[in-house]
Amino acid sequence: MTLWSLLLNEWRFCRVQPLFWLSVLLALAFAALVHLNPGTVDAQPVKALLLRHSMLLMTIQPLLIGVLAPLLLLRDSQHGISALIEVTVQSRRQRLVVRALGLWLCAALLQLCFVLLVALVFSTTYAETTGIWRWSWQLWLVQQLPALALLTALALWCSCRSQSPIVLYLQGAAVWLGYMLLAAATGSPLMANSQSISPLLSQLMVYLDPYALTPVLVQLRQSGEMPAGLSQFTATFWLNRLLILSLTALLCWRALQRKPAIPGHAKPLAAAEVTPITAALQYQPCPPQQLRPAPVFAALLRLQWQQLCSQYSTLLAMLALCLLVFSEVCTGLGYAETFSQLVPQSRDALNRVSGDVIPRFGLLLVAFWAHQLSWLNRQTRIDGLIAATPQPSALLLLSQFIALSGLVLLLVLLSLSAVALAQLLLQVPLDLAEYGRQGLLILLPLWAWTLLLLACHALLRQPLWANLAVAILLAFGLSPLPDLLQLQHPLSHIGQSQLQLPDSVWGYQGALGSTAQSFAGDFYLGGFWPYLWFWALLAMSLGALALQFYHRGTGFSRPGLATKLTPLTAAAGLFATLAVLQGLHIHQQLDAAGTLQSRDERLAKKAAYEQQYQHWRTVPQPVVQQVTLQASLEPQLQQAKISATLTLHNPHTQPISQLLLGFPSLQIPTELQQLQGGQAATELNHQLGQQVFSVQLEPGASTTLQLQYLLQQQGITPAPSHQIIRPEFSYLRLLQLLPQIGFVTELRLRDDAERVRFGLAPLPASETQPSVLAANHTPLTARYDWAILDTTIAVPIGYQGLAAGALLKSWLADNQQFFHYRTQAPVRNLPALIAVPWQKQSSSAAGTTLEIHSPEFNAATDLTMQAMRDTVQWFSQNIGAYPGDALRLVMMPDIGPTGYALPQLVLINHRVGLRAKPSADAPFSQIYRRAAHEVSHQWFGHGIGNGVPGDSAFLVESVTKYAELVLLEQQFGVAAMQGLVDFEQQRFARAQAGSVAAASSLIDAEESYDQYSRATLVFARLRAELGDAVILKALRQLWQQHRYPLPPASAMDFVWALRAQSPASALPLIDQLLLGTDVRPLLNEE
Amino acid sequence: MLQIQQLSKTYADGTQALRKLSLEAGCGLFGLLGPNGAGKSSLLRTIATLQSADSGTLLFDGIDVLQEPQRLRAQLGYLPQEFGVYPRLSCRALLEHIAVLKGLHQAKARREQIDQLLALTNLSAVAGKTVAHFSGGMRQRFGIAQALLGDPKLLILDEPSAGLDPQERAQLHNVLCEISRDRLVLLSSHIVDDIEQLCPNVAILLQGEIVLQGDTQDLISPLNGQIWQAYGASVALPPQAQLLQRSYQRGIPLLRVFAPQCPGADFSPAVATLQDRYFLALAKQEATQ
Repeated sequence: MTLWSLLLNEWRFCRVQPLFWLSVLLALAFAALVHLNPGTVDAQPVKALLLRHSMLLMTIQPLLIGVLAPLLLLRDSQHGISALIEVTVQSRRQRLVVRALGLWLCAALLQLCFVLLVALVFSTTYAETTGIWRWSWQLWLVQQLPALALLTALALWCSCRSQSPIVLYLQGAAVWLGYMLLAAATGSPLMANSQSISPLLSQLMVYLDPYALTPVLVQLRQSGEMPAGLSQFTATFWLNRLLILSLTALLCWRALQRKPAIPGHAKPLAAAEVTPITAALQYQPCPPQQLRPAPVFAALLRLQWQQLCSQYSTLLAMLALCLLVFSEVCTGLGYAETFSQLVPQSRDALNRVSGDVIPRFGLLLVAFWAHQLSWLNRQTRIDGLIAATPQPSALLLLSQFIALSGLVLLLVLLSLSAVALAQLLLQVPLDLAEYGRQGLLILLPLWAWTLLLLACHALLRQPLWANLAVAILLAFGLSPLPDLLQLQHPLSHIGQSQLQLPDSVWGYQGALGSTAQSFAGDFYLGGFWPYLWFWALLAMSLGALALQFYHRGTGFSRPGLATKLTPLTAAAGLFATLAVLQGLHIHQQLDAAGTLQSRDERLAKKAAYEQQYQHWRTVPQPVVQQVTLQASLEPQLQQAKISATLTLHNPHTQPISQLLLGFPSLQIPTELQQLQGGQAATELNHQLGQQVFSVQLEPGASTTLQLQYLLQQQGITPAPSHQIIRPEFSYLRLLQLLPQIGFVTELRLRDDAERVRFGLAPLPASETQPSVLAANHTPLTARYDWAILDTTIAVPIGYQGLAAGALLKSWLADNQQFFHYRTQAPVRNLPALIAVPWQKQSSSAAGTTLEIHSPEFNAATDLTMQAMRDTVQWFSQNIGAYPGDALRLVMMPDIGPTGYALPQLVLINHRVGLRAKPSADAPFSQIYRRAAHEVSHQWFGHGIGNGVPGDSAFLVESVTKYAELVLLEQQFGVAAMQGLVDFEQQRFARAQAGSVAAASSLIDAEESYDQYSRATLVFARLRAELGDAVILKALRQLWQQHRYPLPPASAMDFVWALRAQSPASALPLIDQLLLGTDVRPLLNEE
Repeated sequence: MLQIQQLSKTYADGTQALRKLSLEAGCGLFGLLGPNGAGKSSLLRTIATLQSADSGTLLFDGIDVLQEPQRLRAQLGYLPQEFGVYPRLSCRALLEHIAVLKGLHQAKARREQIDQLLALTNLSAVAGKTVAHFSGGMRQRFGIAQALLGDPKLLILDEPSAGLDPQERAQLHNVLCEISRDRLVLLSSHIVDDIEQLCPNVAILLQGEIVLQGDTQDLISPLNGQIWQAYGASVALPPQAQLLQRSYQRGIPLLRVFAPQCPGADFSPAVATLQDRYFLALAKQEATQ
């Protein structure tokens, strides 16, 4: 018997197995959806190829092998054919080898399909295809085949230790999850925002990463680019491959050495063990009593719980979940960011797991248990006996729902207990009320899912179809499939709500609306209850249908569709109608909030805007001279009324007859109630939110524009980061609401591929690349968009109303507190309003009033205030006086960014700015560093660094990294500064190794790791080579020659200023660091 | 008691399991004979309310079973041809569970009947053992016990003697005869002897249709004097004779034929049995195809 004929035999078996084809097709479909995006053009295709192959390996293969392994390796015991197979001439070892080989070949061929698909897409995207194909083959051979061999060997070894398919499924899931956790813990680029948590772990992964990505990344960190071929891979890479193959061989050898596993049950009891009949007996009937649901229900519940809870898989899954939860809380509870520890509470402990681990893992378990429970009778072949009993289908189904709901409750309780245990171990006090609230928010959606999944199993007669339906529901509920299919609507994420994790500043207000509405059971407001209500109604509708048409677990057939209306079908109809109404209500609110626009729709609008309005670039337009705002904020009602008056001034030497007025969102804000521009619009483009007015504005003349807004936030969707009205924290940046005058070049599409896709020619480098844009001098068209900001805010008593400018007056009227702010000079036209019910702490530096508004004051706020003082003083002494009236820093909830600066206002995320403290090994304080960074933006960012369209973020983000270095060294010594350099160097090396972006100079950089980390390394080097005096002279020169109202500065202006201040010998170094693209000198310092 | 009219059932794959089948059965044991795939289990499953019919009517004691399956289930005892059991559950615990589902809510009465049925099926000694570990015969006896739980007016037993040893089979016959006095016991079996011994009424089912139905004796007696048998491998079969069965008796080939007159010198008259009637029906069915 040749190996070939045996393998052919395996193929003959596989090709008639629906599970085989289903798995393969799903894997291919998933790969196509997730990884084949022809629109993306990566600057480093070979590196992109490596990352995509690794991603496919990581996400698909462990699961695929986990699913197929029982089919191939356990088929004899599963289908009771072992006795027939074991007496054939083929030895057990031969059989195992052939089957494992078959499994490996299946996975390898599927991987080959992935490789070919990716290579095909890449070869249509990139001009140079030889390298793509060569690398595809080579990676398949040396990266993927050994990895698949290891996964197969592991499955083989497990199959020889246990005959239960559940063990193989769990092993597949464990490998899948385990590698992702390892990747996240070692800072792999496959896992977004991950970072290395242990050098030892990272070192181990270099040798034992089954996908060999870690050794390649280490090589990339050192060399900065992909090797030219396989021969240039380091010895570490080949050692890794050798170790993986050795491990594979060891597992195979151990598996083949094992004796065959004995089936888990005992020897059947023989009839001989039974006492023979000794006396003639008579049948005595026992007439049944009238049906009483309670005892039947209890019996069904008891049996179902007993059957589920006595399964090893259930116990293992529960244990795994508890361990996962415990480890997640234990290891991450104190983590705020690198070098910074959180002072945790119960809410933080629960937040570690309540947003993803428990709901997601829990949902997978619910799906598994729903299958087990629904098909329990059929799997144990007792379905006929049970279905023939006189119990109503409703009772049978209801018992399943209650049994499963009880198990879900147990799951949540156990998970929360694991959190509590971890919390107690870390000596963090327990807040039981918080446990109750978060437990409820986890439990309710899982109960809705329970009903939904059981209804699917009850309505579909074949387990395969029922499981397929469940898989589709889960794919839409758990995976990013809806996003990949460009389904923007939140209701396309089945069973999901817009629940945001609570934080200690505003509790649940991020998702549930105001406190009063949060747990009061308002089904129409907030981002949780309306969604839960919708899904629950849908589940109840399907549940009612299931009660009517349940197949009673046999799958033979179900009752025919009723032609007449029954109470259950009527209830199903009612629930469905209510669900549709609720869905419409959600849809209308989402539409009103403007969140239903897809990315492509937004891009198309931008393209259309450019095509229709770019001729306005040459049409003289007025500038905004003053913005006068009168705002009334009602945080408890989550609404705001704003009246804005824009004073428009004609700075040109010719009259202006037409005015183009548009909004940055390219649609007229729904909040806009009234717009008065003196004359009616002559052209109104609703689709793009643009209006053209006829005006008569002589040179030097001014006119005004009146706008009225009414903002109402119902919280059906998370508020945009810069438009939040909540009782505890209200913050409105008015950029998106206020109109902009003329054609806004920043709204143009910048990506070449996207421009081509929407019928636009790529932008020339002179408009996008700062070093080309200002190669000789900053464009003369550059101008500052600055204005006087005059703001009056009315807030409820007890609140502080904040805005840019000096506080001119504060008074009480109409049961409201009024605050009047006005900037004494024009500032960058970025008005914002803030209202918080907190106290403030004040200080001053260099004659500037400094304020911190925070829910509490502690060592962190003291340090923040010190950073504000130090930064203002340092800049005032070395660069120029503070360009404003006062500086107000406000703690904000955890809404995304860790810090954000506006003219004269700074927002710091309370999690890293208020509730954190430096860790024991911290070489510097992140709290101080971040505050210094954001305050520095008052000079670099809102002072200079704006007004040149197309310029990079160099003058905004990179220069402020220099300020961080100097301030840290000045206040905390050289070691603190060097700590920051080392930290940024590690970050840069890691990010750069995983990046597929084109290499660019620091001046032209668009990647954040360049703008921040690389900038830190560059400025550290410049400081070492040139000294601070030279750099400061350059910065001072920049400030003096370019601050408002002088012409704006571009990044190249800094290069010229630095060159001008430096000796000739330093010029090559400056050019290399700021204008060069080679980053190896920076990497080699690691 | 049981009246079936024009009952039809076609499965999703196009298989016509029941073709306008009509049947009537009164109190007592009623045998259902037919080869594999004839539709016996389909018919029994339909009567047991486990699957719906495409058309036709099915009445039991005035209950329209297709419209009110729940009413029939309240007086049904069902033993399918194949069945499994929940793992890790003892014989007594599983009987208790099914008894509760059958509406036996009085604990004492339930326990008494379970004890009695355990004794009747000879399972008392293993009542505390896990049913999943039972041998085939023991599991079959458990199936019979659960079917007898309560006071079923209609007992549907699909191959009840499969896997039973002769002693157990005899015991089963005793029980069935006893309980059939005041109820309908629908018995499906491949073992024609069982049906002949037990059932005063019988129906033969072929390809989803009842081809023969009636009093067992009435079906057999017309064959008396027309059944012949001969020993030996080289016995010539005359054209007018219908071969019913070619078998062995202690290793010697035995031919059994149906013929109005003696088909040859080697043949001797034999007493007609239900098996002869069954084989004759099969042969006629084959001849018509």
